[in-house]
Amino acid sequence: MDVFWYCLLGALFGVYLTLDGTVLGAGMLLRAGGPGERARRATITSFGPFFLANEVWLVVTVATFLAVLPRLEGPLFRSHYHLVAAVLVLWTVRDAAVWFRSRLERPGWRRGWDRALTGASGAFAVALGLLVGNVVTTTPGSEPVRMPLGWYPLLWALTVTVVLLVHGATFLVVRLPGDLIGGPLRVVRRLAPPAAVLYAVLLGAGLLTGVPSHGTPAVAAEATAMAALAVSARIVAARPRIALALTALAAAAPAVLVGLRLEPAAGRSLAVASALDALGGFLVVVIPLVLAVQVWTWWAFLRRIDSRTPVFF
Amino acid sequence: MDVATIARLQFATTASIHFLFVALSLGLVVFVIAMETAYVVTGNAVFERMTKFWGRLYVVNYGVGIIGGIVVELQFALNWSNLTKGFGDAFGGALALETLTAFFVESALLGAWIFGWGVLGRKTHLALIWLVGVSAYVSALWILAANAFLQHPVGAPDTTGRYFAGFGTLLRNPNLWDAFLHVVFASLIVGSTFVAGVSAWHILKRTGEAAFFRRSLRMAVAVLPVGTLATVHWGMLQLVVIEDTQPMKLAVLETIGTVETIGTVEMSGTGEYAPPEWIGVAYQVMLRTGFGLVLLSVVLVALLFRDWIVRLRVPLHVLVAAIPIPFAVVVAGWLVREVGRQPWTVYGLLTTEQAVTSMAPGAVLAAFLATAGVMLGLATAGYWLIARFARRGPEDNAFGVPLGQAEPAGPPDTAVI
Repeated sequence: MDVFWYCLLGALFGVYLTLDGTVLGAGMLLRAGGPGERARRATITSFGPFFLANEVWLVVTVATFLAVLPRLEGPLFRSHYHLVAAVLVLWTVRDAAVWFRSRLERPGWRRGWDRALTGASGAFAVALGLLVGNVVTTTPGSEPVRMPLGWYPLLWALTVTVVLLVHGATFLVVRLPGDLIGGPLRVVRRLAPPAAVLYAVLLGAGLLTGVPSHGTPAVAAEATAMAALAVSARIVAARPRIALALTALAAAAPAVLVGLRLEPAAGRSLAVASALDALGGFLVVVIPLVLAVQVWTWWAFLRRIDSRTPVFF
Repeated sequence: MDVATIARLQFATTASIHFLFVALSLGLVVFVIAMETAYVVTGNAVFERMTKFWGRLYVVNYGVGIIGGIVVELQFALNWSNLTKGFGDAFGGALALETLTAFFVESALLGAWIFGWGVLGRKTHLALIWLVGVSAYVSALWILAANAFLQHPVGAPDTTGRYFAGFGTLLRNPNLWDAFLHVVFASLIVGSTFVAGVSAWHILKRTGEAAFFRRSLRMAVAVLPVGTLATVHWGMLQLVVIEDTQPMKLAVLETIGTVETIGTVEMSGTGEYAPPEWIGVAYQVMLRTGFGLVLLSVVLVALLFRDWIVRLRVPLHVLVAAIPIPFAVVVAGWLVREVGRQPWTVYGLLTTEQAVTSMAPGAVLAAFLATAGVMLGLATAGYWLIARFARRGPEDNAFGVPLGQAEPAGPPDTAVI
């Protein structure tokens, strides 16, 4: 039964990385579709219908984490207080940019929020990567990490950023109007191989230096990410949706390592059995329902944008 | 300043700002639902324009609300880790269910509603806003269930000594239902005062949409007394519960700190823990303004007869001036409820000093300044935009403008990096 809860939390975080990864990537690539307002508006419209539904997965992850592992979340956040606080602030800035930028037609207003969106998305990706690297190398519940910029976390920051660029670009290839996909296609082709190499470096570094939690599942996750990235670079033009499914795997891979690192501490922090049973009873009904709603949203809106697609953000 | 003070300031600032937007969202969504339902049932295009005009204000407001919600949610684990450590088994489930059952569905469907204008069928689109509204209220219920647990910790320690309350117990908390209905109807006051005030402004300024805003105004003024009377009703009922469960809070509220009363309560066993006396002032402000709003709302409804509300002009000026009042009152209400719980975080079991994460004050202060600063900036920008769109009146480009019309494609060779 415990395994169910760990898998649920890992899945929530992994799905968050995959879904919001498209928004973070597209946010960094706001100018990749081409110059001019139309390309930027189309880029934002590409993730517009899913934007709220994507980021909510991280809120759900945090809330479920609290319910399932009430004695782990606090100590974990305390160890990484600075990074968590940074992620929080960057998250609010990114969201504000999406909500506000198209509300006025003044060029200065839009340019300002565009910079905020690109900057906050990039910094958000870096901070997520640093967080992954630090969580993997720190004992949960240890004293606050004062210097979160070790070489291993920095390697993760670079990897997460590049992988999300590839993932976001692949998403844009799926969604943008045909005349705007040239830029994102080039990004995928150029950055997917280095992203695969970065995962290989992480894999090697993890094995050589004995980074904790580097067991078989971690190796499998990183190897899968490498293969997925390598393949997606080749097929992105012909089969963009399959390429997107592959880059999604690469984006979600960090969840496996984080999960493995926290698993031993999690065993000691589980909520009381009666609390978990009560929550579980609800989830059996709620999860299929929620998934149905989310899948419907994707089914209804995941088609290529054309001149008739409504814009809002 | 010590860590607990900074962490409390951060929670108070971000939660208050968050709730200002939540209250308007909860109140406004009722009107958006009613208008779109009227549109789909009657096919009258006026209702479509109304839905789009008030819907855009709702969506802009919602955006700031959701950002604030994220900040508040993450603070539990960030700054109050001893609360989550000791009592996460009991109230963490309510927070998890809030996000899973309500917020999850709400956010997915609101995105579909915004981008679904002209894409989805009318009935599907209407169903979306109904579901968004219902899940918003379910969300509020779960959040208040978690809050009611802090006010009055129902449940008991289990065999391992960990505090646990099942969902049934959480939902039967006497501190929940009166408070929930009080919040629901207070939000309705916020929403209807906003709709009535903005409409009154347009009628006064003769912006050329008289019929549109007269209809909105009458709708909002008709709903307003329901909000005011119900809010006062469920507010008063809470006093009974507070007397049972939080005698010290009641003592401070009713007497503004008369020593003898507090003395009597102390002897009843709650100890020397009393909330700060100034919440008595906040309480009086809430109470008196609330009664004032009841009176005002009843008079305004009477003035709907033969359109006196518009013909007299004065009521319109009153309505415009009244827009900010309910916002101030709901913040006063939260101060009474939350500061009135002090010095406890979990009433009678965990003090606020004990609940806070042990961190260096510098880090907590930096996080406070950053989050509160960003939230204040966003709230200002949000209200500025809302005021701007409210003044502009109904426009055809609120929703459903196709990309080709918003940004026509240029010559084909411009799309290069």
